[in-house]
Amino acid sequence: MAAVGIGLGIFIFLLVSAYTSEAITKPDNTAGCLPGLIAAIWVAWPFFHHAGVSRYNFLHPVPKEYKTPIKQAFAQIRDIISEISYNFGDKWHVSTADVNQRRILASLRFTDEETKVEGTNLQNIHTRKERVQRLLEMEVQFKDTGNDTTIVQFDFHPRVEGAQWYACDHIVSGLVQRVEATLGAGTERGQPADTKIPAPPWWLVGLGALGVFSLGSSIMTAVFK
Amino acid sequence: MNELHKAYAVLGLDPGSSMESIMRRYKRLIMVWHPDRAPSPEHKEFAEEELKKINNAKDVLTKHFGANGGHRATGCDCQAGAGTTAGAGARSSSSSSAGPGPNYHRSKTADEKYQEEQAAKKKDAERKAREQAEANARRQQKQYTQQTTQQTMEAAMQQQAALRDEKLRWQISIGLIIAFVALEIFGTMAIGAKNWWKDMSWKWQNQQSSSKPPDTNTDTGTNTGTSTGTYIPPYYQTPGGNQESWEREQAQRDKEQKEHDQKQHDQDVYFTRLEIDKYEKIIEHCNSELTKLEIQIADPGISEYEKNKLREMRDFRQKNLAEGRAGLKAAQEKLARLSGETPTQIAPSLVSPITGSNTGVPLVPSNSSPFAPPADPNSTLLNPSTTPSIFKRKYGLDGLSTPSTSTPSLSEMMKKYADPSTTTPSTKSFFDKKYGGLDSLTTPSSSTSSLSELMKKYKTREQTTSSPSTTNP
Repeated sequence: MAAVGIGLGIFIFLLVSAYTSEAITKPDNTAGCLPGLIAAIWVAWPFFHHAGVSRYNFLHPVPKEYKTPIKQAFAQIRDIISEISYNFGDKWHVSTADVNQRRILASLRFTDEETKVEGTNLQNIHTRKERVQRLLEMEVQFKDTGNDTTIVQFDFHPRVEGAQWYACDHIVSGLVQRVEATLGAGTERGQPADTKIPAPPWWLVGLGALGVFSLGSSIMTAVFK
Repeated sequence: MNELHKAYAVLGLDPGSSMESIMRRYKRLIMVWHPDRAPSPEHKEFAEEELKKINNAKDVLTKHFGANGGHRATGCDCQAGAGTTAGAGARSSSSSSAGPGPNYHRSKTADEKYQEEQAAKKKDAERKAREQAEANARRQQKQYTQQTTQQTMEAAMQQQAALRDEKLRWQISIGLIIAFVALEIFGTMAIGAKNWWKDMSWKWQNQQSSSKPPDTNTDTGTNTGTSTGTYIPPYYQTPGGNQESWEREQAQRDKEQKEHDQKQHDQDVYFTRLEIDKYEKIIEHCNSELTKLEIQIADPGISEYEKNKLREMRDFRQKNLAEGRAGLKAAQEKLARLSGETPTQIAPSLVSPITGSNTGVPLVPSNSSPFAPPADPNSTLLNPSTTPSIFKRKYGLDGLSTPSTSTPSLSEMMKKYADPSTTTPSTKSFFDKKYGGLDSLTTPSSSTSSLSELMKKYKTREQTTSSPSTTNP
């Protein structure tokens, strides 16, 4: 969605700025840039909002109820976290696994390689691999329903060095899938964050007002000059 | 007799009676011993004491029958036979003598009275403490309820404010979008209207300026709007029209038009001269070719077939020559028309704008580029009838041939060469220099040798000289 927003924003920027500059404020060819930029931000904002909410729902999945008693569910998830390992033997570091508090705190730190494109000109373009740190913190909370079922909630907090903000996504999705495969398919207990587009925030409203004033002044100058 | 039995006795019940009967009896006694029913203050005081006893008894039994009272269904202390014999005696005496209801005539000992008062005070204190605790609990519950209600109200108000805020943001956003689109539409339409008005004004202005201005000398006032007599278009006569700017604009336009015309004229003259030069070169080339062909045709050593081919070539060259002359004439007429002179007034100078010449006033500077702008068009111009050919310029053969009439034969040329009156020194020197002098060959008037012999000798000389100029005299 973010990519769609970026593409659509660029298109709207080019369209509005070109139309405004060429068809309205002809002598002043840069008059349409600011309104075009603001229009692009307005168009792209809903997509960015949707992408942000989707990202939040991915990192904070809806709690699920599994048909397993809490002791067994806790033990199984604890085992999964202990057993699972990644590329170079990286394993989860469990800092807290408290049955009384009914929560598990764990973190995964590993080093990854990232390819960067560098070059000062077209003849000097080359790629360079550099090592970057990834840190993924996880919190699992359990709740006993009293009917031999357990509600499990995951919360992930990735910290990624470099430009690949999605570097830990495969770990998150893999872990959740593995838990579901172990505990069985759970039923969602709760509602995910709503992706419905809310009213534009005040900063966007102010930016839109600035764009309207800028466009209005340019048009008035072009028409009545 | 234990305390429970005493309580039962106070209430006038048998030991072991149920809580239900105790409460029923208690309500009845309370109603009977109510102090307000006492007829006198003494009775009232006595009723109060009795009421305290009843309340104490009821409290003891209620506590016993409560959750932590230890009441048992069998073998309980409250049942008959559980106390001492003295208690049983007292119970019997109590039940016989002190039944329920006011007994103002019963006498009690001081010790009993003291104990009862102490017990009653204790129970009163407990009851007050309990009531105080209940009041505190009620007050806390009320406060909690108030806080909860207040929090709920605040949350509702915050939610309401958030909804209002969101609604306001939506309204402003929609208004901004509408304003943005409206501004774009307005700008497009306004710029379109402005451009249309400018276009129409420009067209009208052009129409007015292309039409002949009215005679401002006769029409003084309304059309001109000024006393200077300068024509002003009607749309400049409206208030705000600027006469000076109009005159300045008109003068600038005239000046530009004049410069454009002059430039076009100079260009036409230049290209016409180039055309003349081209035709002159064609004529010169044709003349030289024809001379050469005539020499070859006159050669008796050439077969008839070749002569026929040479004649065809000669005809073709003559045709080219005629075309060149016609073109030259037309170009000269055009040049005369451009320069404003008649063709006969054009000076007979063979000056090429490309090659230049040293025999007259050049039309263009000799050191200038062929594509340089033309020189003064009023300079001496060309006359095709008197234009000297290359022979004239280069070899001085003025009288040998006249390209405009016909191509002379070799015999004629030789005769002319032999005639000292017609041969110029330059021509003679040329032939002497080129072919070693025709005098050594023969003189046509005196020698008896034929032309074929002369040509043979000429050819032998020509072969000895490997110069390329022999083939192109």
